[in-house]
Amino acid sequence: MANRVVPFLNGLAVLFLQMILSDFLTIRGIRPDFILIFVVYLSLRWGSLTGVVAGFTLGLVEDILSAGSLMGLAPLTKSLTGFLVGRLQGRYIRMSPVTFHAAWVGIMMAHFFIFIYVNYQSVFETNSSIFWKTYIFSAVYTFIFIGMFQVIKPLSTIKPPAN
Amino acid sequence: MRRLVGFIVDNRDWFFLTFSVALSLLLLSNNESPDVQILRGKVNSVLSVIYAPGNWVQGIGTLREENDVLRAKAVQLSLLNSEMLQYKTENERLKAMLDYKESVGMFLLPTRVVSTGLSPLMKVVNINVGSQQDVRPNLAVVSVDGVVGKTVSVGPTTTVVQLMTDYSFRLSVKMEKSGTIGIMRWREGDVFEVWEIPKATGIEVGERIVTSGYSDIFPPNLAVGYVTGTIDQPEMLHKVAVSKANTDFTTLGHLFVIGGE
Repeated sequence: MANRVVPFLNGLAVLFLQMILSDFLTIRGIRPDFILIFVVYLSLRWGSLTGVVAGFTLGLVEDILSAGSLMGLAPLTKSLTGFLVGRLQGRYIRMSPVTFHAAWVGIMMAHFFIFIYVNYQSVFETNSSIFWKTYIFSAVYTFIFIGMFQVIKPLSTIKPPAN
Repeated sequence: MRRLVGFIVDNRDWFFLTFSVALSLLLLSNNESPDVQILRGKVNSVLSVIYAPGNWVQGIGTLREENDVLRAKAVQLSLLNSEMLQYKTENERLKAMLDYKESVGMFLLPTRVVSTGLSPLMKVVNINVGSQQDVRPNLAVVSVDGVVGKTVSVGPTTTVVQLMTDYSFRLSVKMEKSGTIGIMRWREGDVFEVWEIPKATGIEVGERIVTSGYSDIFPPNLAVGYVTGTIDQPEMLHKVAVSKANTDFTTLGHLFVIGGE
């Protein structure tokens, strides 16, 4: 039971954190994506299934509360991220560290690319430099925070729960 | 049957992924659905309580600064007001002469930003008025400096405002001096562009840009920004005016919703 309740409560806490801190951390209209960071940690710990469910649920809440013009985009990208990162569960010891870290970084970069591309597709066509700047800035901003979390709890130390 | 169930259970993460992706795509294709908009409005109204402590802290931090700015603005506006009164009298006299029909009355509903959403890209803000104050979708939202955006989802006590900084936002604008009409779209930071300006039209740097009035949402002559430069390339059919917004979108606090009476 605790296996289900703890991630759920953590998810609520992250949503609350995103709600409270977003306004303070906004730079040029871009904020760190704490929900994505949580989905990455959760998927590495609990696997693909939990990653998909958490990514979809939290993405849906994010979209409902953000009310941008694209409802459904965050659940799509976050559930894909949750699934793919979940596939890395317990693989750190079997993979080279470089491959492991390159994999989750690549998945997150792909997440940001899809998210920013769908949002800014008209800009991509008319002024691609703005698109790339926005993409890199929003990805880097979230990576700065995931870097800070790495100091506290490195992703490489996350292990699947013992059965 | 048992083998099928076993197969599904063994690959349940793939099934959940397929289901999530399908549902997300369904939602994406139903973005304009009124049900989705109503749901968003209601959820935002309920959860606006959570933003209260943050707003309170932010409010205290900016209160003094805001007070100074407002005091200065009040003096400016009182000076402007006396000038406007003269123009109003003159305008009324001229209108009467031209048998000009009185435009539809407007109401200004004061409101405050309660949150800026959860998305990593800030494109909307939530304000603390809703359907209980007769707010409905597609009403203009302005600050004392100029246009801010338009209402999109309305809940009982809160409303989601799509900001001008959203790349999908378009606004019909007019160059104040030349009267040329163009379409505004956001670029980056506090810079926007006005497209569809005929090449022959002369545009001055510093020229004010206002709403054209060719819109059901925005009344005419609301301040939008001012021209900082132009892009006029031989291969383009029109020229583009690079402009700066009057509104500072990083410090949105007190706004007004404009609606017809």
